[in-house]
Amino acid sequence: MNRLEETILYVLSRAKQRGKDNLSKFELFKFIYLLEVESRKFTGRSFFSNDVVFVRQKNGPISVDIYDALNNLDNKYIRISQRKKEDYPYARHCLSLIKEKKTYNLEESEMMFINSILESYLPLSIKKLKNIVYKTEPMLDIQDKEKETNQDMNGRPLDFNTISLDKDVVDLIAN
Amino acid sequence: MSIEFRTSDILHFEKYCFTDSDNPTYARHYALVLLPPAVMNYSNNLLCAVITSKKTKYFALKLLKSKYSFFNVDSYVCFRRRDINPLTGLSNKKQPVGKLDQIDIERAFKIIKRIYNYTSDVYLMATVVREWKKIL
Repeated sequence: MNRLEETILYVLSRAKQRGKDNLSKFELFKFIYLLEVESRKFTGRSFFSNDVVFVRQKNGPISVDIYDALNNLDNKYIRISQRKKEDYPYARHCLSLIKEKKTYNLEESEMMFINSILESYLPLSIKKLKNIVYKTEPMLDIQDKEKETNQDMNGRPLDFNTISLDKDVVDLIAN
Repeated sequence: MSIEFRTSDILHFEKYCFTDSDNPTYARHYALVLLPPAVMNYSNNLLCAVITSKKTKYFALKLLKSKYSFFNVDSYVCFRRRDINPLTGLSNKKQPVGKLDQIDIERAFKIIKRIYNYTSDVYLMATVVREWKKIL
């Protein structure tokens, strides 16, 4: 199992512990995206060692790598089903765990970092989550390029090198 | 109970466990919450820095008795100490016994940034910085 698959299962498990027994694909994509963004912001490193590529799509960042991971996990660890939730008018693909891993191949502190991310974003509505994602540096960058060139950039990769290190982490390193 | 504690809360432990040695020792102590249970991998644990009445010079935050009346004397948060403690070690006092005020939160964060420069665990550092920034 690769790091992305481990992380997806951990996110689903943690969400379940925090009272959400399933996540929509939309939520999962955004959580994984925000984990990568915040990892670069707070550590200067890619959480997934640059192995997960996100591209611009109509509803924000999408990753083929996550689709592949979900396919690998489907019916072994997770179930993907169509569900209708209160915060959205149509039924969506939802992911739930069918088998919990006993241990995860992640460091204790990496799991705490994921917990911290989820504590911030798990309670948010789809609309608020989308707003936050659109205000991240890679999304702002590609939207600027769309304006400059007057071109639709759907399908183009997002540039994570646009993410600046958090100013307090810069202070910390400079001390 | 576990979910309600927040970063910068001050707790009182009947059995505070010093976990950063090979042989953990226990004592009655006040402690400052560095990471709340909601972020820990086991929801009944906390990451704490011990608070002591012993004057501590380095990487310590002085807490005035005049501001935090539950202390008998001026006390010091020792940020060099970092212990994972279960909630079961808390005393019967009403918890949290207090909370850092905003000025002390800012002072604490400055010390945290200095001390976490020395940790090689970047995701621990990132999590602590991220959680403390939420309350600044």
